[in-house]
Amino acid sequence: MNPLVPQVATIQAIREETPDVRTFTVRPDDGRFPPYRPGQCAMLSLFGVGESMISITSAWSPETALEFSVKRAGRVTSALHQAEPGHKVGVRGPYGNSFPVDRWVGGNLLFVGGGIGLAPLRSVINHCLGRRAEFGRVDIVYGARSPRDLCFRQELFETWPSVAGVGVQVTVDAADAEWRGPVALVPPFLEGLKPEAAGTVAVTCGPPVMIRYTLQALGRLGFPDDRVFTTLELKMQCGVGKCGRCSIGSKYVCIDGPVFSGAELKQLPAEY
Amino acid sequence: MTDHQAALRDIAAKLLGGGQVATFIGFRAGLDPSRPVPHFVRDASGAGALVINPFCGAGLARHVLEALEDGPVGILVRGCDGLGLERLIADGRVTRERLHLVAVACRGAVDPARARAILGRIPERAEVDAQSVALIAGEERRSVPRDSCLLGRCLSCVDPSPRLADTWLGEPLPSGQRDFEAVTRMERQPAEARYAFWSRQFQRCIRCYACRNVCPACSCRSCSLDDPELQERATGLADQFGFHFTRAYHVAGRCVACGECQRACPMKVPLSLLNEKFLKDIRDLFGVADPHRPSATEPLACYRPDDLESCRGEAR
Amino acid sequence: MRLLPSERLAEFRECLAAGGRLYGPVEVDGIVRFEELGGRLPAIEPGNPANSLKSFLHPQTEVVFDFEGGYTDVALRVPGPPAAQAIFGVRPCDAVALERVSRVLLAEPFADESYRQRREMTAILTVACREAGPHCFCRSVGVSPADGRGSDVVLYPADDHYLLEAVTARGLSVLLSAGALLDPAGDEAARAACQSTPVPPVRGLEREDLPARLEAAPYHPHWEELARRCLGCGACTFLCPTCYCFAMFDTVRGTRGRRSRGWDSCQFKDYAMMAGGHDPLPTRASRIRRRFLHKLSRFPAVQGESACVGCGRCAAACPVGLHLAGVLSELEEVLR
Repeated sequence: MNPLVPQVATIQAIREETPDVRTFTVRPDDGRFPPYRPGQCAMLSLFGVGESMISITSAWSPETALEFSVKRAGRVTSALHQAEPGHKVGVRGPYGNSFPVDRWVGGNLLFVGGGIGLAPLRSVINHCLGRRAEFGRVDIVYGARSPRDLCFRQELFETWPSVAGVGVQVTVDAADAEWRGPVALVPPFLEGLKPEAAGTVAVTCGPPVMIRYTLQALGRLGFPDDRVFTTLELKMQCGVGKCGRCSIGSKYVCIDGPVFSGAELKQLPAEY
Repeated sequence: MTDHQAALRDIAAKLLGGGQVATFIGFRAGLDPSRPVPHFVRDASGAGALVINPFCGAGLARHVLEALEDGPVGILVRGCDGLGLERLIADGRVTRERLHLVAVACRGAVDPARARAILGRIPERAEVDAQSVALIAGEERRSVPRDSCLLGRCLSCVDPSPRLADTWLGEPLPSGQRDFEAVTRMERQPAEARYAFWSRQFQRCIRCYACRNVCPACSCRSCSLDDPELQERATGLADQFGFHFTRAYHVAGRCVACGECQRACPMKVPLSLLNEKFLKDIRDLFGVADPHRPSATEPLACYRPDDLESCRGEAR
Repeated sequence: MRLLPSERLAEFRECLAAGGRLYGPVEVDGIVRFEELGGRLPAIEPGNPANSLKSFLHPQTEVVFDFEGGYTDVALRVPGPPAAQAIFGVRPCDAVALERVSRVLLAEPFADESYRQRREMTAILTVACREAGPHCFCRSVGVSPADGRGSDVVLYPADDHYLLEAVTARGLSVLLSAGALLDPAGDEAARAACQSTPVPPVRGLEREDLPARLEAAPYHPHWEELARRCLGCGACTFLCPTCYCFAMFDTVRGTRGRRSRGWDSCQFKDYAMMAGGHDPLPTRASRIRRRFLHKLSRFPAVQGESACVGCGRCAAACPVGLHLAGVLSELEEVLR
């Protein structure tokens, strides 16, 4: 079987998260999609337009369809935003490694997200909350450009805060008239919260520049490199380690990543 | 040409040392003596690396764009380089004041691959005159016809000397007139033969875009060829025709016939022949004597109320 | 071990052609390229044809699937299996390069199925080198003019005959099919002659510490120097027998469409540009550095061998003389 040929799937539902982020519920027409782990991605495509590597934002269960939260950015994602339920798409995957959740058991978890970067974190947050008893305190720190750009509002403001031992802190870069919460960029906001580093694993995802400064902030907060994880995004054409596009140093993000520890990142050239 | 090397180094050192230019573009020795490479000198002490000889085959005009952001540019200019720079100036990519042109007359550059094949070893020196080329390696000196070992782009050259210059190395040589002989021969072929010929040529194309990237008339910062919606990357014959016609039409009326596209093509697609066809048509339809030389009244770039509206050949 | 008398080369060609499409180096319009041989004999000249063997196994563009519809109903159709083919007159470096490419494209669990099928249907008949071509430097990267890696059959040329050696089972069946033309004899001298063919070395390439030297100086200003000279075209990468990068693209005609893949070049400016504008390789210097480090440091770090086989195509092709051997010798001067 050619790994570049997708399964045909159907968009079942579309939820508008923000003015430029929509979450697509997608089910393969043959009903089967291999089990996936939190942090993994899939190639989502529109026939005649092209493919994009998108992180799977749902946590796997036998009956759940795939969910992809897609920011309108380029050709494929813009076309996806034009699609309606019933539209056929191609999907292939799951690809990449995943968050080493089993190694985190017994510890506290700190998730730091920015913008659409909450999409890959959402899969691992929901996965961990499904195994709530295995972890200590869970803190979620999230920021977006403006209140309108906050994704997954229901989970952010209702579902997650109602779980025992889960704290959610939300900030925006710039407020609007209604916003009563903090106004700050994520990295300094995170530093101001002074999260406890001892016994805690930090997981971050967001725009490249936010990741860079968040990693620095986590370092200053005392998080050792091997207890910090991030998930990288680079341009990908094949998703299966052949096309060369997502190489960083001697790694391919699509098969060796997208999840890297802070320690692994330091071994790579700064080409992400 | 080689005689001017010392003077060139001296001029470049003075321009760089005096701060008139931030970069001087010329050639330096390559891996073997028959393959000098374009070189950017950044300070006076580096001018000693400059070489000038009949193996200097690459066009230099386009390289100006890579140096402008550092300040004014000094550049070695042969006829073809001069026309390329005139094109870049006319297209608004560089202003004349930002350039210091060190002009030299050129009788043609030697194709290192052909020269090596003739000698059976790498030539160390060459001398080019109006009749023949001498290839020299060790004690051996062989005199061969120009068309056996010069670059194709030099064989059809009618502009040995640049029209623009700030400093001259030696004397200019007179310019000539294009005869369009190859195009005329092509035009006489029946359509089927022409189609077969171009199919064979275009099928070789690997779409590396060297022809575009080396061309002084093809310097858009954002190119439609890079937009997957405008230009598909497929390489079927129809796609290849599409690409080559697009490229040729985009430089039509602005091509300076420097032949760099054909020199740069790793698959030896005769792009110059395509360009020459457009030039000949411009000559014949619009009565422009030298359509490859940039001017303020280029027919495809200027609007005139009495412009030719049809393409039926009723030249003015 | 078999001997093929030189005067039987045409019969040998016919025998190969009977097994499928047959390609080899031929000179057309003043350029030697791998093309369908037809009634011609392969042009065995020192050095390599302009295009590389990869064109036949990892083609410039290929169909991934065709589709019809696409909105609320879509049907995909994948191309059928490839036809049998043989490439006759390959140089050892090219076949070694294919073996390097295979390490990536055939890596599990996502082996490239169309490449795998093509490789299975392709017989590679290599002619070992008695003389180096103008740009050859195979010995500097651990490849020999008599290298058999990646080939199915190696032909060692002698004055009036070739010594034929099957490297793979596929090669053996080729020799069996041509059995009537071949003399069951050996000629160690023919092989030894190719094994000792002199190939000029490239300064710097032989150094054990080359990867470390390159990685230690990622932002050396000489990369900027090279970037000024580089035109940013894809000639070096498209002709390189070990470059395997590709892009995927869709085309549509009415209700029918096609998803294809085609070569892509890390030297193109949009190579790594992401939707939204972020570009991890924003400068020409960063892209040139990527290319040379991939060849000489990063591919070797994973695969244990260089991703350069010394075929010299980049030297023949680069319009501004910015090729691996030249760049290495320049870096030798500046990386002190």
